[in-house]
Amino acid sequence: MAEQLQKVSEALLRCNKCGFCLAGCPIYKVTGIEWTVARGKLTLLRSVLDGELELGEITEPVFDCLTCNCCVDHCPSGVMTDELILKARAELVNEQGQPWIQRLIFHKLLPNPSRLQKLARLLGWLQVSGLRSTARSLGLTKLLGEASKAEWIFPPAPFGHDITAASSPRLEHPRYRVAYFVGCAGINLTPQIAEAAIRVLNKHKVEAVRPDFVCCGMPAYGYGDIESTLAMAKKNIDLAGTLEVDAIITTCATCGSLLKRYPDLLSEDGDYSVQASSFAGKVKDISEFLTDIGLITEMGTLKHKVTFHDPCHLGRFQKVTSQPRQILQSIPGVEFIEMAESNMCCGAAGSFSLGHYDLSMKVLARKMENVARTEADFLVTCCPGCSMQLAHGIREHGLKMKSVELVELLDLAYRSVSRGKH
Amino acid sequence: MCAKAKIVRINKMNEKALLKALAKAVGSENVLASPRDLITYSYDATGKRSLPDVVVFPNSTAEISTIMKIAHRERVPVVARGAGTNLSGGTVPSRGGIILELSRLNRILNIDIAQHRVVVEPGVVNLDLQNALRPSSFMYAPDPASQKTSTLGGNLGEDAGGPHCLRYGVTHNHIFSLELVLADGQVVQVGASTDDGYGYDLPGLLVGSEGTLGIATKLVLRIMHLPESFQTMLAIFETLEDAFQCASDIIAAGIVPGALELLDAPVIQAVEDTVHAGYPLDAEAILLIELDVLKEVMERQTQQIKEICHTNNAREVRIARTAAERDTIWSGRRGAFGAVARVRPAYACHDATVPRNKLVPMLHEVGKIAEKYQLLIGHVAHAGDGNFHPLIMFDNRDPEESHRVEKAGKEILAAGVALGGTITGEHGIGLEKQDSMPLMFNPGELELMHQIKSVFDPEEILNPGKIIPSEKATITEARGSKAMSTATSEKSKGLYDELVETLGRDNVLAEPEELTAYRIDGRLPSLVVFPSCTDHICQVVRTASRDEIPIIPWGNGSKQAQGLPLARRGIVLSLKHMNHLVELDAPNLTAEVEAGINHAELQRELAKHSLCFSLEPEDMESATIGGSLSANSSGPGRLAHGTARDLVLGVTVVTPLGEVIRAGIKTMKNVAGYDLRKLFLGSWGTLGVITKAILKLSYLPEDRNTLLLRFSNIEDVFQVVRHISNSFLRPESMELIDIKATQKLGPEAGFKLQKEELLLLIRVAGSREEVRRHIAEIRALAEANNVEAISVLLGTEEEKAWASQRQIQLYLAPGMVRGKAAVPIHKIEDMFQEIQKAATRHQLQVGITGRVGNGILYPRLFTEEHNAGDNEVLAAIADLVQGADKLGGFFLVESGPPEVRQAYDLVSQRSDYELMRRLKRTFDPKNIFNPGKVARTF
Repeated sequence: MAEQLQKVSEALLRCNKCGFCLAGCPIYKVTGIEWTVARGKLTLLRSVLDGELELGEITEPVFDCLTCNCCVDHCPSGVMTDELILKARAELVNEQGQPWIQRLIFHKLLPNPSRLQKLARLLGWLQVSGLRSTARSLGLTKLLGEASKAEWIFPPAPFGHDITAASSPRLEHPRYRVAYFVGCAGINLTPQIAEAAIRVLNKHKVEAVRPDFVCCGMPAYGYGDIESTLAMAKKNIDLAGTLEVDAIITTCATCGSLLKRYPDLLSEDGDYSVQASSFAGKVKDISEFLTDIGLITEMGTLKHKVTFHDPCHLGRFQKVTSQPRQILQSIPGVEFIEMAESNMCCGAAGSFSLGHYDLSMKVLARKMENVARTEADFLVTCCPGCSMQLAHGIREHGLKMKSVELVELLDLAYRSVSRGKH
Repeated sequence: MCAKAKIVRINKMNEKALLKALAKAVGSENVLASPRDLITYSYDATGKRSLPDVVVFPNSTAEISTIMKIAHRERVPVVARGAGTNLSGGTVPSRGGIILELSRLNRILNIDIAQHRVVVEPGVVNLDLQNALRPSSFMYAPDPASQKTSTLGGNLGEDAGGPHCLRYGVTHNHIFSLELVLADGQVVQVGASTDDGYGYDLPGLLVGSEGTLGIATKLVLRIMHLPESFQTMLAIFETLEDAFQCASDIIAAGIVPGALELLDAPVIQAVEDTVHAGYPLDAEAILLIELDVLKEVMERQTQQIKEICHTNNAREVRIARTAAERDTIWSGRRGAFGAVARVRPAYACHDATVPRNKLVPMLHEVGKIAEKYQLLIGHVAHAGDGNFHPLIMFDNRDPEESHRVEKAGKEILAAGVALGGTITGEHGIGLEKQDSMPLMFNPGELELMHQIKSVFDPEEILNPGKIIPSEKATITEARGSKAMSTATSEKSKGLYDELVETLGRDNVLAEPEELTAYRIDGRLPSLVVFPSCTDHICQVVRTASRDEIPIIPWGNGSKQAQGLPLARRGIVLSLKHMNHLVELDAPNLTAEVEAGINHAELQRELAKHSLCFSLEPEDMESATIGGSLSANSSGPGRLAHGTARDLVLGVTVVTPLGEVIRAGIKTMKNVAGYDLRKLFLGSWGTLGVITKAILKLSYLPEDRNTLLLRFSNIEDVFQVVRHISNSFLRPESMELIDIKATQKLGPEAGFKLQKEELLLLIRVAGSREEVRRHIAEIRALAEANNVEAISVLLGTEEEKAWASQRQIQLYLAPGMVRGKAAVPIHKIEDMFQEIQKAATRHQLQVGITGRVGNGILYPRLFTEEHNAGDNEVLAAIADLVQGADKLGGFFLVESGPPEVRQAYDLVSQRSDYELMRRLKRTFDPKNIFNPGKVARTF
């Protein structure tokens, strides 16, 4: 029993119950319940290993976790709780099998970009055609259970933008050539961000190609489906192997964080472990890349108050925190205001908000309180998941500000200087 | 043992019914009881485990009260819990029952910057309070390493310390009052939220009681202005001895850093693996030294510390240049306990605290024990106050090694006690150190703790099985038989003869003419006795107890006519012969004295060693230390140094049952058992007679000056006081003297007063630079607020001014009534007006003095004819009692004719009166110690 867990029992022992993880855990902060925080979860995992509990009895603690890694940050003895949680999820999937909807998504949709796009278009058409509200009024969305409450988090259908049509123009004498890993959310929900990213890259004389990467694998990974995750990782690595690029750029913190972890995931997979390392070595968040190559600071003035939310997958997982701030502060006119607890999770956590809407909204409420105190005009971040969640928060909490992606704001700054010249 | 063992524990009520009742009380969503839930509330940071039966999340005091009523009725144990970060097993529900989880009661109810107070719920996280205070440049001083997660309720329960407690004191120095839910669900207020209080110091007793006496639901805490500047240093040593010696030397040099922390090599390595604090991996030990002082002082003290470090062979002294560097240095210290789990799977953390100059010997003892048991022991120490955390790192899956760890732990505790230390300085007893309690306390002392527990929690439902070892039966027997045997054997003889036999004829006075000097409120005592040792006192007390004759402890008699008058006359127990300085431990900055020692003489003796005891009441020329402590007297210096509860480390007391109780030792920190010491301080000899005291000393300041400010408007005085209170300045005293108080004394008082003048005497002490800065800033403030004249007094002039202040403060003409009003600091002006109005209304003269920095005013009411005019005075007092109450404070009569003093018995109107009464009855079942004092109705 609990094979995966047995392997990590050493790691579990390192938790000495000091309770420092309580300081960071966004879920503990809103629930105050011990099993929502790392110390409690680790104790429960121990209990499972010791035969005091069945794994099935701790499904909720294992899944009620944002895997935001705040606990890991606070842990003086360095227990990698997120990995242990993901191992436990994998174990649960092994034991209990996967819900059909997850099987469909992780096995059929995510590894197949064109199917995913077709579905997205269908959903988009439903929205625009008014069937969204019809479906809602008929209570059809209720069939989706808790996830239906989360439906409003999704932005309106991105008509008029189609990333599949938009391809980066070929540049003469580009400084760099990069592959742009747009990500499922970027392709299907927020193509305007991808367009902005391509413009910003071009501005820096960087040519961006957009190969047919499949999903990075995070949704499957988060739900404990290691098999699907590895399959997707390998597809992406294979594809990257055929490209001659200087870097692989992401505008999605979540994708970036997992792409950079491919070497860990594939460490025991002979050939792939080497390729994964060279792949991961090239992955850069766009903010990281731009500051590395030297940000062009010729921009128009944006007279706005701006605050920044650190996506967990960017700040804690990729350790990218100073670059986005540096970029924001180099936009003329921008007044940068640091919010309290800027690195605390917004509650989106990939698809967490879909499965745990109420809890996710409580976490978001704390975030929005901190956001509101800044009185900023723009709430900036670098992750489509966070962006959607924050936009939802702004609406729900009646704030007068806009949630934007860093590249969107940067693109706006560059475009306003061009406008100024003409 | 897990999920199944639990249900049997609930005896009276079946589990279902209990859950139902609780769900009704707080809502079913706030009651958790699945195995999964219970497992996660079975432990604390020690790793000990025991399952509760149910976990309840109350949302209000009322809900907690309901829960307690249910638990009390059904006799179900209740363990209050915050974040569960305690290091003693204190929140492990060892007898099952209800976990009362207070983490959701986390509102900061009020931040009162002007009064330096906050009111919080128990679930507020320590650091959240710090963060809320920072915008106002204030702080809450106790900063346990767990401050990011531990709650203030938990800090209260454990009397938590922390690195910065060296300079600012531990939790008990910062607690004013509490809203408390008692074991039976009753809600009471204990303590006063003003600087001064009256009655027994119940908050003092409750701090560190680990949730065994009551559930604190609101806490009123002191906050302080942030220091003006910080300097954090990292000193690196090649040997552990050098580092410890260096810490001792810094204290001995008269420097009180904000923090003085030590980490040794094994800990440094563990910390560097995780936190990356930049500690050198090849060092044997490091000291983290933080100075938080005025800018002017920083440079010289930094230099001094560097020199001391180098004298002790420090390899290098690094100084943090930025706030980020400071944070990094501290992050290592805070993460130290957690980080050692990287080295071995588990650790046992001890909390020995020894006199500060015993750190190196203690270290050697621990070294020997480590060798004997072949264990890896790392050290983290609050080196500045002798608090030592040996961390034994081991593998808890290895039963043999675990066994060695346990044995070694016991030996470490015993070694600490043998060096004059305690088994716990700040972590508490909980489950873990119960076995070692007898190292610190004799059976009588443990039994007394049991009885105190029974006063608060007769059904033993509040965190049962903690703190006091459970061999209750044997203890009771031991105590009972001892007391009885003496009583019966001597029953046949007459009282006088018996006392003469014990003390010698010269030491018993019985003739009326001999007794006149011991008249109290005009009444002669029945006898006066002069014991010369604690043993004598025990015998006198047992004899008196047998015959139910009151005992009136007597130092120099200077306070006998204060407070409520005695209800009965009895034997005056004079401590005249017990006036010795028992031990002066200068390097540890402590002195043990017999209670009959003259307070001022002691100061003069200490001054020879450049030391002082910072409690300096105005009457110290005539008072004894015992008197000052029993009456909780304070002097002008309380503004900076606090009162007896902050300055007395221990007392030895003979109780009304004729037993010797030793409460407290000469370490700076000690949280072993209930803090009985606080009960005796300020209890006016009603709970026992203090025979000895261990005093915390400080070095005489390098420099001291007094500013004498003359004002014609009281508003201006208070304006200046307010400004000073909310600045970086920390004067030692701010005393107000108004004209009426002095004019009766005329030129004798030494202040040549012009017409309707008000004096503000401000004393500043410290280093030369500090004093200079204070004088300059206070001068400027005074000038901006219409001061009439300013003089800076030094030397004999300064001495004279304070002699005059003492004279005025103590002056009491026949028929005069002196009262005390204590109010929140920002209400002091209102109180001043109340007093003036009451005097005018009742055609009385009034002279007011005051410790204005503490919100305390002392009005003297009199008529021109030196005739108290009882009715007018009583009416005025009634107005003042009411007026002070309205302002959130209190007014009581200190001195005056007995009829006036007994007119108001404030204690009996308090909501915690019943607790006080039961305590008095427990200590003194026959009500023979100073009957009538503190409360007439005890």
